[in-house]
Amino acid sequence: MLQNKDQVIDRTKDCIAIDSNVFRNLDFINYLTLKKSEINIFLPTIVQLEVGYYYIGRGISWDVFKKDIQKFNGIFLQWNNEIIPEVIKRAYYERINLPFRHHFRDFLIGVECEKISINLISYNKNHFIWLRDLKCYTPEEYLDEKLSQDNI
Amino acid sequence: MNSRTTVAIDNELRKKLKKLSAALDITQGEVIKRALSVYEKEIFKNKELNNKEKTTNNEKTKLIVKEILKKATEIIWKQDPERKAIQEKLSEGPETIDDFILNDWESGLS
Repeated sequence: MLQNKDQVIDRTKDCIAIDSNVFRNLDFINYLTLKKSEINIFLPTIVQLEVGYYYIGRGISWDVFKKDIQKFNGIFLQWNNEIIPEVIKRAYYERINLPFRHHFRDFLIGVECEKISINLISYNKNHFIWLRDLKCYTPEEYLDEKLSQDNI
Repeated sequence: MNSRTTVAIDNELRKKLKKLSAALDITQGEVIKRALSVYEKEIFKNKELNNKEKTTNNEKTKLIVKEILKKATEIIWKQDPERKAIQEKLSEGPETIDDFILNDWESGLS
């Protein structure tokens, strides 16, 4: 469940990271659960924190949360201090459009995704326009793209 | 107001232009004007049709996506009552995850 630094990612499967706001669409979480054999699903560190907190707030313990994530083989990205300078650099470059005060989480998520080259699913695509080499989809766009690929 | 412009056309087109001008007893300029008007209408009509088709296809895809997502929940809830209970708890009350936490994120440095 945890992504170790040296763990090799199975690139034969589609690899995506999900933002916390994706949990607003539980139908999509269920879709991911059904497709878990085809998709590697990663949870960035801050997403683990936010969604875990959300679960606790609804009376669902951390252990049950982890079990729920395991149902779609969700992989918890492991926090890595080495990304901090990159996060700071990106946040500083984008400070006018995406002030650190409100967007530090987005930089943490984005840089974690960049480090392992996986696309991101989020309802706040505008917060990730600085990600040049990765794609950011909403859940619906991602599904739409999957459908188009299946039709080819 | 008319103005002069120069365009290069091949012989065949020049002959067609002359023929139409003579047959309709109108100037060659008028022939071009009428031909362009017909062409313009045709182009915009096709564009409109294409846009309509695109919109219909987009709407269809949106509906399909919505349907797939809805179906996923039906299947999972049937297979996994524990997941159903968790998700029902998560959906309780008016707050979404965004209301609950994300909209309040600030650095804490004021």
